[in-house]
Amino acid sequence: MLFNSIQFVVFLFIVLIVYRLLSQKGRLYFLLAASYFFYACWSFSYLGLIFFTSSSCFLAGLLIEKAPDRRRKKLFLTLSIVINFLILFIFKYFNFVVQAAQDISTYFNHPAHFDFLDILLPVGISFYTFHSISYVIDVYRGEVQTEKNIFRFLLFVSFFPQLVAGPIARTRDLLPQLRHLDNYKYENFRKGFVLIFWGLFKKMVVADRLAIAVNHVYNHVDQASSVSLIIATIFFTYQIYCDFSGYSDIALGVSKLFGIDLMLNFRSPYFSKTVTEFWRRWHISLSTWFRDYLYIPLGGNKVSQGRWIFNTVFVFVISGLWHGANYTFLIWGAIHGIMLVVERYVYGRSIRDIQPGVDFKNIIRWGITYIIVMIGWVFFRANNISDSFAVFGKIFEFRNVMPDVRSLFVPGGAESLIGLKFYDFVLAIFFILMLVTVSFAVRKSGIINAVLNLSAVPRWAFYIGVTFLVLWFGKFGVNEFVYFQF
Amino acid sequence: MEKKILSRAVIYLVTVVVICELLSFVIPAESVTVQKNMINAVYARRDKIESLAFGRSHGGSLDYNIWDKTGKNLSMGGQDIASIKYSLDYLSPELPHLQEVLICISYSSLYFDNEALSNGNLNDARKGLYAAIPSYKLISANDYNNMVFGKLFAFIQADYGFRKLVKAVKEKEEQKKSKQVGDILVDTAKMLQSAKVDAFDHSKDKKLALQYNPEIREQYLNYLKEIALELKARNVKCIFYTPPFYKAYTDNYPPKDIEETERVMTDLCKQTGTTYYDFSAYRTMADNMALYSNADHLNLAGKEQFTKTFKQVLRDGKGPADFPGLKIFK
Repeated sequence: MLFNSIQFVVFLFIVLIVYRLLSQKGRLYFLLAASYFFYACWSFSYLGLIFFTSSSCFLAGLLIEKAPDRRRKKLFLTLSIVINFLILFIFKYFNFVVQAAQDISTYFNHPAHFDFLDILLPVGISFYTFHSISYVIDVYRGEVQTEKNIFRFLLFVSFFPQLVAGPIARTRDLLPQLRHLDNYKYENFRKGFVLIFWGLFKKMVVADRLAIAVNHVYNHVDQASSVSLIIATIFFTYQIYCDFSGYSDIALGVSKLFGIDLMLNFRSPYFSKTVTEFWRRWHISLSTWFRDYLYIPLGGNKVSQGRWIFNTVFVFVISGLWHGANYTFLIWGAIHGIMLVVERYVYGRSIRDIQPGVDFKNIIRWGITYIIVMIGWVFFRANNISDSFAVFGKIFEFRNVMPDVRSLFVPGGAESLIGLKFYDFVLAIFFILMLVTVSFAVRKSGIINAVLNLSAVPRWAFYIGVTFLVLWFGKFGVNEFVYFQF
Repeated sequence: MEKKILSRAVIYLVTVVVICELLSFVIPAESVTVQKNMINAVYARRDKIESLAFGRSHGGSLDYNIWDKTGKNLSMGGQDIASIKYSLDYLSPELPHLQEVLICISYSSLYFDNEALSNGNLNDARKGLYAAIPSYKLISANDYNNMVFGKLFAFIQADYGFRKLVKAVKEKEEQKKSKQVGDILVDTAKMLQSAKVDAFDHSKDKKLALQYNPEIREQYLNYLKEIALELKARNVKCIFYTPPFYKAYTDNYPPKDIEETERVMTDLCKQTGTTYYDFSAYRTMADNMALYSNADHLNLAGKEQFTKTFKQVLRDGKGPADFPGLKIFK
């Protein structure tokens, strides 16, 4: 059940009405049932897996709390982490490791054959595993109160707006809110719907339109030209942003309708002036997760320089692998890790002192950051490692550039070059510009405040305008969100 | 609080609906009304209709002005087998004098489905059908978007206004460049003469590959079987046919696909007691370029000749001996 589907509209409508009619206790059970139903629509057979992950972490939390000494607490923590990462490894990384072993053995001229596991990747497994594990670590650290009600904990892990693609909520943020399910306010509805409208626009109008061109070019890299690859790569930077941040906006908006605030996941990342800043603005719930649960325990920046470089690159490589079991994600993570290290040497401590604002230096910084991020996205999007290098090879060939650019304006030319009809191509550029303009205008206040501070007429123009943009220009096919695969 | 939410929701819905109605008034929803008009035309003459024809654009080859039974050709570009089944499920019980249903089989009929054609957009053909037929059954499993927009927002025609504007601009450009249009016609003629016809080959064309869904064939064959058997139970004759194609089209089509179509249609006819008339290689017409508007579509003269020939085959019992190249599968 996708957020941008009619089924979800019906589902949400029913859940909201029933939720309103129930008592606080009833709401807890009902939201849990609704969340499990939501997940069952994806995969009924994997419901058991999410239940096992949740209940094992719930039990680990109780055992850690009751353990008489530090050593046993640590044992339960380790057990819980090992079990959950083992599940994640089997479903997500086992076949990758087998493939890597085969590749290595072939490289050393001793080809070996290992059997692959014939299993499907459960939707959202990386999200809910990280979500659950963070609770156990928080309990171990004594940072949160142990949850005694298993139903509440099951809901904490499976709360449907954030279940399949985040944001990865923190225990101290989400769990206390689930203890008081009475924050049912009109103001929440106003804020929630602004986010839902904006998220739908990003996903259905921008991301799904760009996806047609990106898929057309990146799925046939051998037939692609320099111009088509440049266009597709630029388009992908916006597709991935609109797809994922669109999902996060809708998740935050839907959650708000129930009076529950989820963590902000994006803050106009493409306006970043450094890669370091980019990671403070992109997928914030994941980057802060890695910071708090991996980078800092590894020593963070309070270690020797060599160790700090290792820590930084290691965390980003792991973060890359979190996205998918593929060499492309590994390289993507490594690029970002290395760039963070490079920036530290280029800017030194002054990286924190870069002032916001539109001046010449910042525009140059922004341009460099955008290009680095774009290079990373090539690895992220390419179907495999050889395709990624083929993309760069072809882009820098600069073959047939002018004829290809001219062909965009000939009937049928855009469609054969990038798979988009000419008017869809023009619309794609128009909507990217529109998105950038709006994002720039609301970069300080955020879309909610910007819209809600408007007077009635322009505010309603926003609601109705976005509705018609989605109705006229939205893509209504079954287009999954990119981050569901993680 | 509930009152506030409810009142805002009502204002929102009423505004959206009013704007939609206004747009519908200014820009009538052509693709939906075309389907509606076709179905309504059948319904209006339901006491007289004896024959119906369905199929993709190739089904347009049958001309009911010449046919000997009162009927309506409901063929439409991109009409898939699922849509034919959906239309017939509704229409056949409504037509007391229905005697025959003619279903045109294109080489692509068994693996092209309308949902795949939509590529992320609402499908006009599907939306129009939902708008025209008073049933809330889905044509296919994931078709709910088309159904909702067909049933509830048929008047919206989602991006219709914009596309109409683009079409108008294009037509204006084409009028200006009438010389180029002339060139295109000459090119088509040349292409037909030289037999270089880019047939409907999904293996060569990326765009066609997107629309190619081999997994749907079994489902479509089941639909055709159900259609034939249900019609038989109502004493309505179900006739399958393929119209003539210009020889270069057939020559360029992957032979494997043509053979496969013949094979499955033969099996289907045996299972259902129906007959499949394949005119695709009917020599007199396949060799005559003057009968075509392009490689696989008959022009007016072609349609007239084909309809007369088909009538002779069906009614007078003529066969391949009289019309060389015609194949009949039973």
